[in-house]
Parts: sequence; structure tokens; C-alpha cells
Amino acid sequence: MFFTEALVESVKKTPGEGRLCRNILLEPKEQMYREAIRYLGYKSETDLTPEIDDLVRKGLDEICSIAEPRTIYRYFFLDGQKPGDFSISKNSNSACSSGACSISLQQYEGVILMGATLGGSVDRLLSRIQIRNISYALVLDSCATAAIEAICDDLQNNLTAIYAAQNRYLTNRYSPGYGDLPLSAQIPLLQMLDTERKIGLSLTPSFLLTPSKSVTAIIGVSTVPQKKEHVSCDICEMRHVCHFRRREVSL
Amino acid sequence: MIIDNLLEQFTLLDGGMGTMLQAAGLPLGICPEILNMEKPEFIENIHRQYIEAGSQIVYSNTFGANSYKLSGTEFSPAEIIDAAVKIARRAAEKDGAKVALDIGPLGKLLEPNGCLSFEEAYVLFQEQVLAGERAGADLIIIETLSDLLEVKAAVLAAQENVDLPIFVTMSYEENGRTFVGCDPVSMGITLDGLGVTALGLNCSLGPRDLLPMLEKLRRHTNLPLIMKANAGLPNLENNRYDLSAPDYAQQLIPMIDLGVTIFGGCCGTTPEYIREIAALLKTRKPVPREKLSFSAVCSAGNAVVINRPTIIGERINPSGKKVFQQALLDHNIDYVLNQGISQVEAGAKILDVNVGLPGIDEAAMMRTVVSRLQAVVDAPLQIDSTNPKTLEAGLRIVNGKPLINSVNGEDESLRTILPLAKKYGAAVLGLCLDKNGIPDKAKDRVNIARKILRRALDIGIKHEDVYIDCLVLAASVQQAEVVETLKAIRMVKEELNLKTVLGVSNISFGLPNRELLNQAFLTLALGAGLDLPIINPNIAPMCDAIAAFNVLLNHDRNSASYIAKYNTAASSTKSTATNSSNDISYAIHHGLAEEAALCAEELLTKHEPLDIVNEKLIPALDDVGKSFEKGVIYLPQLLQAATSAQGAFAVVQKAVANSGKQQLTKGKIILATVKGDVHDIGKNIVKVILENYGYTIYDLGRDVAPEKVLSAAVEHDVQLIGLSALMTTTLGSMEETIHLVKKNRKDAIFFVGGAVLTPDYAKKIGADYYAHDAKQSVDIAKKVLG
Repeated sequence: MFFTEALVESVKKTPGEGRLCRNILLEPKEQMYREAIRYLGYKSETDLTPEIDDLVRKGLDEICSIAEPRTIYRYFFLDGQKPGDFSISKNSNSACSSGACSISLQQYEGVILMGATLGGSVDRLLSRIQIRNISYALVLDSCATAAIEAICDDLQNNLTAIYAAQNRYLTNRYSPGYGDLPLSAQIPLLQMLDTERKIGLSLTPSFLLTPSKSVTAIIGVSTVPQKKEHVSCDICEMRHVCHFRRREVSL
Repeated sequence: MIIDNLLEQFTLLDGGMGTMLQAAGLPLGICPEILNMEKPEFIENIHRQYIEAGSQIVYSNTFGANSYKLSGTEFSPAEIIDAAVKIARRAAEKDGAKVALDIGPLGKLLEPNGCLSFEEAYVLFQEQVLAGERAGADLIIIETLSDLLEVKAAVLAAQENVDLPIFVTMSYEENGRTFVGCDPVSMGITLDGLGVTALGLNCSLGPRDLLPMLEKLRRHTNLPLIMKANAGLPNLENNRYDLSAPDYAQQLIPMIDLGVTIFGGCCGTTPEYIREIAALLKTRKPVPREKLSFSAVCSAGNAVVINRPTIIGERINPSGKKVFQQALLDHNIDYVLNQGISQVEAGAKILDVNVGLPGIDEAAMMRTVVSRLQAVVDAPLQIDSTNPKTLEAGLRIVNGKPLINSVNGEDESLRTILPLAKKYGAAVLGLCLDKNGIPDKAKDRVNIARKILRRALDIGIKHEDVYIDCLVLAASVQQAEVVETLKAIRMVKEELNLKTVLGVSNISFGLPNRELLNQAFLTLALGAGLDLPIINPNIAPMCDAIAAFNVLLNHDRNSASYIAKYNTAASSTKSTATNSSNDISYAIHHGLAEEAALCAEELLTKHEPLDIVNEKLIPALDDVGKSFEKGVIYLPQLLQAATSAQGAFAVVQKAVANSGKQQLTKGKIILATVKGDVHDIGKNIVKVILENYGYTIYDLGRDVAPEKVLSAAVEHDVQLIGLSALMTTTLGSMEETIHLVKKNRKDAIFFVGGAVLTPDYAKKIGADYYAHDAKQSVDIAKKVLG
């Protein structure tokens, strides 16, 4: 286990840890809608035909009504005694290795580990619709991705507010598989959060999360305000294949 | 032994083990089972504290002692379990307490949600129960599981390998279901059938919050009930649970009133809680429970209690269906699943599953279809075969309580089939025939039913789990006997009080306007007491007859379902936008599926099937493909067009199949999502598009091992193989697959795709082509296969 030793669990936990948190999915879905059509490859809303527009709205409603979203997070104080021990980056000695997709957490006071899932009902729906109607399945898949991101954003917003009250500032969230944070970091992350028991989230042997519409992430907590980071695509290992890459990136 | 009188006296279990360990400073992320080896006296002390507080059964510290969870440690499950059970035995000896071998979830999801096969799960559990028995455990407790199929693997592993009582408790969330969607009703029905010793709930919530789930469970089993709740919810201020020991005990009182007799505590509970419960139980007596009797089958999340006409969908059956037979030969499981989903959408409550066809491994096919089907539909299944091996293959892997189709009055049949029903806790359908065939007279059929019932009861199958099919003879052949069937149904209901099943549509065989006769006969049979018609629910008049019957017999209260179904005047008269030119190209361009199918039917009256594909379907798809490449349309529209073309293509293929000709094909292609990868929407998109172009696709599914790709390539003699991988961690499997197949089949040609692939990387791992999207897959297929 490569990053647990320097962590000391704090008592700060989320209220209703692991309970259903459907509220954000019941609110107007414009932001989710924009994300969903972006995942579908549309550059702007005007490119949508009325039929696809209907399909996306129907898909969002269906996902949001059957999802059983649950989140969990834990705050860990970073033990200053052994600052070198804790790193989630391959380049563990650099202050902030090669770029923004990785974070070396020595500069932070602590970290929040978080997990979120839409639950197994969404996977079942996706499997069923893939057999019946592949175009709607694709739309639903994008809607589900938008929904889990909305759940994570909501959690992060809440955390930001909670920590701001204590003059603490949060970084963006970083997930295994992005930048140079390896997928294998899922193992300790899930163990530290006890996700299997708390929110029903587990791993396959090749580090895929099940249920599939789930996210785990690490958020740094600092005593100084964090710049809104511009995450460059240049440092990302997915830059050659990513469909959402910013155009200016040199390959 | 206390385990003998679980209903007549209270039994007190222990409280939380993890809670005690954490209180003593066990850090997060550390395997608590290691402490059995490193600090045995510490664990023994915890057991002692519980026993001194009143626990009569303590759980060994083996919750995660399986090969998977212990893989990062230096110990095997057998070593840990041996040590842990012996520690518990030492603690228990003095007071005569019992030791339960504790088994928690494996930590990996079973197929098809995850990658672990049922048999792999079985082997992991088998290792644990064998070690537990050797070490001297008195019983087995399977706890905190959320997947009913995983529970079943554990229960079978215990029943088939050791001779110990089995307790099962599952964990429910506040929405009344487990994380994977199992509800307490299905749990009760299924585990009661499998014959565990006691069952109940543990973990996740406090007693009060678990009460609704417990009530449901209580209404669906007669077995002793267990309650081992958390000490409320975690209190965020002090990192402790919010329910005190006295409050916890107070919240158990309604459960005692419900008839629960086995109590303990889970997370957050300590010896203090056990003492409080012990004090409470001293002041109370077990409350006798009313004995329940009802007929039901279920999936993991959906129970069907047979108390009104209930449709069994008959369409998953290859007999007499050429397209279905071809699908089985091609291993086209999606076709089969589609039959299942569409029947459920049309109103089937139970699905019959029959995959018997010469030339295929029927048992393996049954296993695959049941496993895949239960991932996409909630309906309980009826496992249908004449081959006991096939039946067992399905019964083993089915999640929930199935119905077996069928046993009959012959001794051989009774001897082989009834024990399967008993062992797997299934309901069983008995046919009123024996070695002399179907008796003409009702009373002779009922005598066979009586014999089947008696033999079933003799081996311990419950009365309510025997259903009878009085059998239909074609009116065109044995017109006089039609009334005998109706009479037999009435007699079975009145004399034997059993549920009745009937395959209705045989009645009209050989006569014109079959639907009319089928509907009329169905109505008569329902009137005679038919509970479970086996029909094709996609044929509206059959479902209509049932809907009407349910209104007239007052099953459909306030006619609510009937009105919802038929009062369509208010809902939009959806225009099916028929365009005047009846142009298949237009229909495909605009994603009009029904329209495209109608156009194809129209075209078949004037054109050869192959010409329709080559001159109409493919040019239309090419046009759409070009628009997609140019960025004029996007993927969802491309797929809508593909879906409508699929409908048209199916019409053409059906016409070809019915004419007895060879299926149209432009060539054969294998598609698979590689080993370790479970995300397969990309592969499914490619499949739909390629099928549209007339290629025969052998879809091996997801998480496919290299050897399986090779054997499919050999078996079906396929040269072109498409592989998909979504994650960097599974690219290795892709490379391995390509190398293995190419080593054994020099002419194999691979195209690969997926989010993490690049053209360079594709080349590096030995692929012949890189496909950026579904459209490029078609270009590659055209190049290779023409």
C-alpha cells in the first residue's frame, strides 16, 4: 500500500455518509444536459436535431429517476513528520510533478479521499437498453456520466463551503487513471474509504469500478487559497486519444 | 444444542468485532484477520467479553478470510480460519457457547455485474467452509452480503461440502434494497427454498430503520429470523454510533413482537449492548408466528406471488423458429435477450427459457442465457428442458427462485427432476402425462397430478411449490377432449388446491384464425381456474383477454390497470409520419424504425432479399456514414439510422429463413471486449453497424479470455476479428489475444478500437487495423471481406 502510512484520519465526516443523495438530480438539469451532449460529441446545442434533443432530455429524466447515488469522503491529516512518504504521483519528490494532472501532496495540510456512485440500477438499465436500442443506450450512457459528475460537483461544492468556514481551501479533484495517477491507486483509495460496505462500490481485477458509473478522487486541502488551475492537456497520458482535448494541444 | 430450537427460544449472538478492533486502534486498510495470527489472545478476549455479556454464539474473526481478500497477506484462508475458529473455541468452551464460522462478501462482484464467475465464487466459499468445519465450527454464518447470487454460491458451497447449520444475513439500505437491488421479499422466498437454517438482516442501519425490511422478510419465510443491526448511524461529532445500548435494546421490542428470536449487534455494538439485549430477552418470551403458505417465484429484485392470472412468456424457445435456431448456433445471445426484454415489456411476469437445439451444448447455453438474461430483466425465470443436466445448469446459476419446466408422472422423471427442485428450492411444473401419454379423461389427468404431488411432498417439496399443467390438445384433432382440459383444471384447483399452468396456443393448431380460438380458449381456461397461461405476450388479444378477466374478477382494483392500458384517447395519436414515397432510404436517414421495417416488407414483394440489402439498405447506410464522417450528423443519429436499418434487415433475414434458404451474409466477423474489460458499449455500437451491412457477427461479449477468441475463430472459421478495450490496464489482454490467435491461425486479421488506443499502439501490439470509430470498422470489413 503506497500511500496510506502518512495519513491520520480526522474525525470530519460527511453528514449522512453513504446515504442516498438524490437531491441534486431532482433539480433543473441544464448543466447536466450541456455535459451530456458534449459527451455525445456535439459542439453546440444548435447541432442537435429535435429528436436527439428529446432523447437526451428523456434520458436525463430516466437516469435521474432510477439512479441511487451515494457518496462518501474522509479527511486525512497529513502527518508532517514524514512528508516524503505520501505521494500519489510517480514523481514523488517534485513539488508538483510535471504538471497539473498530478499532485504531490506534501504542500497540503491534508487530503480528502472521496468516492461516489450512481449504483447498480443504472448499470442494469444501460445493459438492457444496449440490447433494445443502441442509440438510446449511447444517450443514456452520456446522461449517466453527466449525472455522476453532477453528484461529484455537488459534493465538492459542499466540501468547499465546509472547509472555507475553517479557512481551508480545496484543490481540484484528481482521479486514478488521469494524468499520471495510476489506476492501481484505486485499491488503497477504496480500502481507505471502505467503499464496498459503505456505498457498494468495488473493483474488478483490472481496476475498473463497479458499478461502472462511479468516481473516486483525491482532493488536496491547503491553508492558502488555491488558484483556479488551468489543467493543461499537454501533461496528460490520454492526450493522443482524448476526444475532449483542447484544440491547441501539440501532439 | 441451541441450534435445534431456534423458533421456541431466544438465541443471543455477539456484537461488532470490527468496532472492538477499531476501538483498540486497528488502523484503516489493515486486514483484521491477521490479528488471529499476531494477537490471538486479544481476539480471544473480545470473544470472552461477548460470552460473559450473554452471547451464546460468537462469530470467528474471519469476515474477510477468503483467498481474494487475503491475497496481499502471507496467510491462506485455511490458516487464518483454523486459527480464528480455535481462538473462538477456546473462548467459548467454558460457557458452552457455539462458534460460527463467519463469512463476509468476497469483495468482488459476480458476473455479469463484475468479473467473478459463479463457480469461482463457489470455490472461494468452499475453501472457507471446509477449513471452518475442520477447525471445529458449529455453524456457518454468511453475513453482510448484498448480492443474492453470491449468497447462493456460499449456501451451495456449504450444503454440498459440510454438514453444518447455515445462518444468512444480508445488508439493506434505507431504500429497502441491498446495494445490488435485492429486496427482502426475494431474499426470504429464495433462501427459504434453498433450505437455510435461519435468515435475517445485519449491518447498515439501526434496528428501527431495519424494521420495514424485517417485516417484509417475515411475510415471506417461516424460518427463524435474525436481527443484528448497527448501533444506529455514525455520529459525526465523535465518530461513534448514535444509539446507546439501552436504546438499541428498546428498538428490538417490535422485532420480538414480529417473532424474531435471534439477536445480536453489528457495527458500533459492544458487550454492553449484548448485556442489554440479554436483560431484555429475560423479560420476554418468543412470540409464536403464524405459518405462511403462498406460491411465489422471484428474481433477486422482483417477486411474483401467484394470486391472479400471471403470464409466462413462451418466446425463448427455438422449436419451430429458424431465426432463433440460427441465433443459438451463432451464439447470438443478444437476440435471445431481446426476446426476453420484449416479452416483459408486453406484460410477461415470468419468462420460460428453453435453449434445446441439436448441435449445441445445451447446458452451457442455458448457463449463459440465464446469467445474461437475469442481468437485463427482473422477471423470474422458468427453466425449461427435457435434459436434467441442462435444468441443473440453469437452476444452479439462476438468481432467485425459479420454476422448473417440467416433471411428469413417469417414475424416471419423478426420480430425476423432483430432487433438483428440492435441492435448488425451485417450484416445479408437473405435466399430466405418463408413459401412456396424455389421458383423455380429466379424472385420469388429475390422478397423475395427484401422484406428482404426493411424490413431491414425500421428498420435502412444499405443497404450494407444485404447479400442474393439465395439457392442451389441438381442437382440430381431439375436439371432444378440449372440455376435459378445462374440467381437469377445475378439479386440480378444487381437489388438490394447486396452481395451474397451461400452454394455451396448441388449442388452435391446424385451424384458421388461430388468434380467435386462442383468445376464446384462454378466457375459458381462466374461468376454470388457470393461474399461469404460457403465451406469447406480444400477441395483443391474449393480453387483452387477461386484462379483461382481471377487471371482471375484481383482481384489477378500480380497473386501474385496464384503464391505464386502454384509455389511449387522451394520449397523443402519435403520427407514424408515413411519407408518401414509402422510401426505405428516407426511413433510415430519419431513424424511423417501424417505417423502415414496413418498407422492407413492401420491397420483399417485388425484389430479391439480397438485392434489397445491396441496392437499398447499404447505399442508405453509406450515405448516413458519409454525413457522419463529414460531421454533418453525430453518433446518436448514425445509431438511430443503424437501428432502423436493423429492423429492416431483420425483416429480410426472416423472409430468407422462412424460405429455407441460407442466411444472407457478407462474411463473418468475431467481436469481443477483451479480458478484464467490462465496458462494452463501444463494441456493441460497432456490432450494430456491421450487422447492418450484412456481416454475420459472433459477439463473444465482454471480459473475453484470449483462448475463447481463438476457439470461436476455429469453431466458426472466422478470419476477421475485432477487439475493443477501454482501459490502459486491459491493453495487455488485447495484445495477448492477438498473439495467441495469430500463432494458431496465421490468416487471422485483427482490427482494434477503444478510447485508449492509438494507430501506433495498434500496430505495436500486432493489430492489422486501427478503427477510430464504427464507420471505420465498416470500411475495414469491406476491404477485408468485400
